[in-house]
Amino acid sequence: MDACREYQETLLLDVYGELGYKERADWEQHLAGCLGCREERQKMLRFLDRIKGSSLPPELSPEKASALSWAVKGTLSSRDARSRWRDRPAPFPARAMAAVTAGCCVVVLSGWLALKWFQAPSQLPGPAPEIQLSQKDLEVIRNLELLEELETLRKLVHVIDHDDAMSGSPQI
Amino acid sequence: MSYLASDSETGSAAEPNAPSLDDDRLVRFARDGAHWAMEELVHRYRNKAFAIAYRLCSGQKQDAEDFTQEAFLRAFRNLQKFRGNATFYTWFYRILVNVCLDGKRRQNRWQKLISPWLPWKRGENREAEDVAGHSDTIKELSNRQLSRDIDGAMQALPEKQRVAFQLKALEGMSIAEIAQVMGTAEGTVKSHLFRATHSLRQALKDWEE
Repeated sequence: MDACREYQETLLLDVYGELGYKERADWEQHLAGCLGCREERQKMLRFLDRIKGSSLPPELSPEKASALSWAVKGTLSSRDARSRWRDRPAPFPARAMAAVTAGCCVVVLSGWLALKWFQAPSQLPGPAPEIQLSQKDLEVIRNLELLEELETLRKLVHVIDHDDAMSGSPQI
Repeated sequence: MSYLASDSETGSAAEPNAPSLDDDRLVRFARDGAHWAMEELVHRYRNKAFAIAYRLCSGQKQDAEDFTQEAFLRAFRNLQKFRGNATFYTWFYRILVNVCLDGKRRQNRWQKLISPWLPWKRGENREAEDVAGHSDTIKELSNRQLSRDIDGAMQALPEKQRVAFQLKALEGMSIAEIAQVMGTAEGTVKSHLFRATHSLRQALKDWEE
């Protein structure tokens, strides 16, 4: 036998213990005469009992419980200590030392930058030996044609001199 | 008066008899930095908080412990924001639920990223622990199967329905309290609760006698 549709919400509120005083009186009156709703109510109560019974969480052991308390306490204490340290004003000598150190750093850094900036261009190092060598090579390549012509002339002169020597020049 | 209060009633110089104080007074002391008041609040709610976290973390004990601790720390850091409109514990449980849900979402994102490279999965470890911890009688096996099915059905629920159902059916909170914890209207909580109950009954109908 099915439960009455119009009482479904009331049934759920009843099994969850959320029914008001007036609603409860009406509901109990209905239950007394309705077998379907009574059966459905019993089924719902059994269902909820099973769910509750099967998903019982483990107890937090006393050791774990105290460890939890200690962890929370420890974190809060260290947070308080940190905030106290941050809030405390620094003593005068410490503040003066920090200011002097910062000033020194600024002076040294600006001196080094100025030295780099105003350094004369003549003092700059020249090109590396490898670069010089490649410039010489470039010169040779540019004048290669001229050098080849000079070599040809030298060979020609050598051939003519050799021919003269073989035929023998007229003796005066 | 059962406690030794300073002139302003909130000073942390004198440590009153903490267990006899109600939550409101403890919160006022804690807000002024009294560690003993915070300790008492932790002592009062740690077991209940752990139980809620354990269920929201689908039975991962270590995660539940970590999230409980994180929730207490977050609550004490933000104690100045607690205006007293709700009770301390509903305000704290709201933080706890948010910490657990955020933590789970973060873990799920990481798991999606790294799971292809992992040779094992966390669920399998838990199953191995379960098997090691129990004797293999038929009733035990049946209970374990039921427990696994309930867990699976719970995980299949939408997040809000699951939280509403767990807080009502398992933790015994009232609908008004759940509405405060979840930051929604009571009608919405009822709707989540009814839908969750219906879905769970459908999913677990094989277990109904």
